[in-house]
Amino acid sequence: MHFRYIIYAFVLGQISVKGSFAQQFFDTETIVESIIGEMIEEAEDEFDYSDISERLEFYIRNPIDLNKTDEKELTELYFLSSTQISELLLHRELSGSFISLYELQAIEGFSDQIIQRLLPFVSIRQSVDQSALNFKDGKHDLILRYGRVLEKQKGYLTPERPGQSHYLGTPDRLFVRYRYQLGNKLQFALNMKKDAGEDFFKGDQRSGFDFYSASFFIKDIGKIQNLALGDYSLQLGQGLSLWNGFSFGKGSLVQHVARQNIGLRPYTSANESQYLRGVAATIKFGQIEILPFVSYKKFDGTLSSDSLSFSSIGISGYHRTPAENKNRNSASQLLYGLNVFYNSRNLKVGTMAFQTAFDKPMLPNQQLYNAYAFRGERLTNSSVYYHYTFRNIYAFGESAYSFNSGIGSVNGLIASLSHQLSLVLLHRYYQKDFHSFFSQGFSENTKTINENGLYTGLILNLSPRVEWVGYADYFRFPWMKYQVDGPSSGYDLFSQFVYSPRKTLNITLRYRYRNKEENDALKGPINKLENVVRQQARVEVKYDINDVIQFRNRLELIDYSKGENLKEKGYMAYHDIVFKPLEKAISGNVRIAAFKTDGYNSRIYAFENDVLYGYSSPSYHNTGIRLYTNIRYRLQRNLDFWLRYASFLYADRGISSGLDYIEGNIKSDIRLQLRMQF
Amino acid sequence: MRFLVLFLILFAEKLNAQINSGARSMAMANAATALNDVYSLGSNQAGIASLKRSELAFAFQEHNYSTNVRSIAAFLVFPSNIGVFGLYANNYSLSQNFNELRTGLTLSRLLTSKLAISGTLNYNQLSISDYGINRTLSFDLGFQYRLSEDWVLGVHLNNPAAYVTVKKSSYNVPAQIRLGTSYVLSDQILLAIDSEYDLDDYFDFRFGLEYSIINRVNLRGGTSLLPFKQYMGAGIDFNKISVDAASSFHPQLGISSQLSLNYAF
Repeated sequence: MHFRYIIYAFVLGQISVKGSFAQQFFDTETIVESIIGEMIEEAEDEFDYSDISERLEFYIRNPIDLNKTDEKELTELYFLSSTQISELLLHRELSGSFISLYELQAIEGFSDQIIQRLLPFVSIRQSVDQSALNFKDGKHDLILRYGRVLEKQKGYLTPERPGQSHYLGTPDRLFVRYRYQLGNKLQFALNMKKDAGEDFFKGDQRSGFDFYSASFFIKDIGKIQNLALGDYSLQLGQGLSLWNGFSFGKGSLVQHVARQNIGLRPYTSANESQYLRGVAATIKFGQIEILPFVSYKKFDGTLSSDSLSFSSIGISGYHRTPAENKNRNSASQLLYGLNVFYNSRNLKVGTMAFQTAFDKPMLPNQQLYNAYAFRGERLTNSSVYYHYTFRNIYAFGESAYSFNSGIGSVNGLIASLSHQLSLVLLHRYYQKDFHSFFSQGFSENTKTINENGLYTGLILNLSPRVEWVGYADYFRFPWMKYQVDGPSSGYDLFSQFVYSPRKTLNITLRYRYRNKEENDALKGPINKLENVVRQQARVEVKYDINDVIQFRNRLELIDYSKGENLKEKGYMAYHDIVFKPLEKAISGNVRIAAFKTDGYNSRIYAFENDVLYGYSSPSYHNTGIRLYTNIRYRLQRNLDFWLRYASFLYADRGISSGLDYIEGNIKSDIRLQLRMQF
Repeated sequence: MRFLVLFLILFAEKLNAQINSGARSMAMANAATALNDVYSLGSNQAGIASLKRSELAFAFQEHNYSTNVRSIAAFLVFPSNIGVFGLYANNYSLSQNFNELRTGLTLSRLLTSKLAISGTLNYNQLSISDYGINRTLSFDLGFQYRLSEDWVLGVHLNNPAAYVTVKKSSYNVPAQIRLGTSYVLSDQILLAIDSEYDLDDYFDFRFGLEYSIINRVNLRGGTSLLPFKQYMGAGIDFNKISVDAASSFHPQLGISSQLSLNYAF
């Protein structure tokens, strides 16, 4: 068995050693960035993905030993799907320990692209024995970041009349990030953040930064698999009941509609909501893992006029104006519960129950679309979830119940029909009164509520160099929604070809069609529903000019229509130059983009390179030019400096609205960052 | 009832969608222009050219449950020295009020080992109670070209004469062109893609997949874009007899189901 694979690997290796195993010239940052860029389809601007980057970066520095690893560890790579992980482990089981990384090519479902992506994170060398680590072996990592918009925004001007809304603080953004890491065993993380417009050491931010987050995480002490103290996140089951942080939605990573039960993680990103604060631990008894958790934290509730109740939970984390400060930490939330997980080779089953209690009742606005929204002070949730592998089929699902209200259920399967073709099916059913404050189940809606749908996806590897993925998703919303005054439905279609004739050239063609219903634009007592159709086509080419310079080009076209009358079109084209000389102190990238859209409805999103652990994914709309440059300079071995300058130049004057309004036609942003590792 | 009729007219699918091509084809979103079996008589008649045995098949379809819209079709092929003959009849009805009948006689043959061609003469009859009966003849042309062992291209012209003489009468058989391809990805998987155009700028794109889960048992699925519908189905082949079932899901109209039965002599 062994021998066969070695021969196979050897032969393949001869053919494609240039193709897939040639040394990467890009550094860790570029690898991580490209993975994240692919995971994010249409990101909210300013969302912080650093918990994923951090984990990926950790595994670049401490590669996973393929002969020792398990499902849990591989799951932390995020970009491997559940089926790919089980195929890898199955391969090891059948043919014994990995002898060469070339063996990856013999694994079912591992395309050249996947192998290429995986290589930096894995090894078959003996990894360092973590138990012998000493405190002085720990690594410190400190990052200081400064940023601001250079032009004057309306919110920072002196108010014309008293009581007029304005930003209380300066437009400066500050971020401090500290990590102490002792191998894979122990980690301490601290984040401090001041957003633009927030006060610093005065006003409501007397203690300095607006947002502080600290976490302490330790692994493998006796029966305790891991323990988190401070800020942590839970990602359980398929996310119907309890899922904090990033989750995959619809996009080109079709297999990722199956969520991977990640469990307990320290919370290390700078997003100011969607985390838990308290203590949690995973305790292992043979095949059973028990995870008790408790969390208490304050949050921004939109207070009623008498301050005795709140109508919604704020997630932006902005505390820039008197009105935003009024709701700052205005309510508190206590969460406690238990998750039990049974883990056998093919079958994994988990169940959880938890209660959320607020210090004052939540009373959403009395609108008809809110008729089934949660009202009250206390909510109990319970859930059962599973993954099951049977031959070439991976089945997964979760069913959840919110006490005294509705149920939600999601079930799906991934079938490897042949080594070239995989099928993904996912059905979801979320009742209009299914509630959880931490749900992020697979859905078209932003919330996991009031939705039924069927998703069908295919992944076709025509050859190691050609991949096609596509999906069709049909969904229905049985109850009305915000700005949708009636039951509605829609569908979403996606098709993408990726052709990589060689390692240095990658061509992507993509088309997406979305059709949904919304209220018509007419102002009247009664709104009819109209179809909103959004079509997007994209061509992208990435090619390496030489070992130092890579070009990336993208052209994206969009066509938007709402009913008969509102039609918009637009395009965006960019040219990126990535400059990464090996062993040189300086590296960086530049983008120049031109865009023209008929309006905001036809906006186009694009992921941008940023300073390490900084993320930017702005929308390009109206007519203009986008330019950015991002430079990293290695001052010393353990001291890096970043400078990023980004600017929008619009054809027309007047940018943004409200307090962010800029009179001119230029909006530029600067970021400086310093990193010390010691 | 009146409401239902109105509803169906509002969401009416094209006339061609009322031509029944069996449950195997339906389960694959009717992406059947490059498939070859007895049911090709309902999609692209060139598909019967390679059949070696006489076959008889029936299909029954209930459109959008409880609407009383049904179609029944019969298919017959018999190979001969000059080619494979086919006979097709389909009756599409809405209660007793609306009745559409189409029958066709086909001759299909292999011109070379790779190219199959077919010609079909159709008799079409439409009767609506209280309005009377309309009759017309139409002609279809079909082609299939085998690019390789696994890969087939198909082209079908439905009443191409209408391209030349567009006359607005009360009963027109639309001129349509269908382009399709099928590809055998592995001994278990068949992929099929179709696109369809007609004179009124109507366009549809369909995608179908057949998976042989175990010997003689097939699972199928598909999607069509305009209108957006999802399809699924299964079939069992008992040597001489094969049975296929299929369902389609339309966002507004709901579920339609079909059962078809085929006997090879």
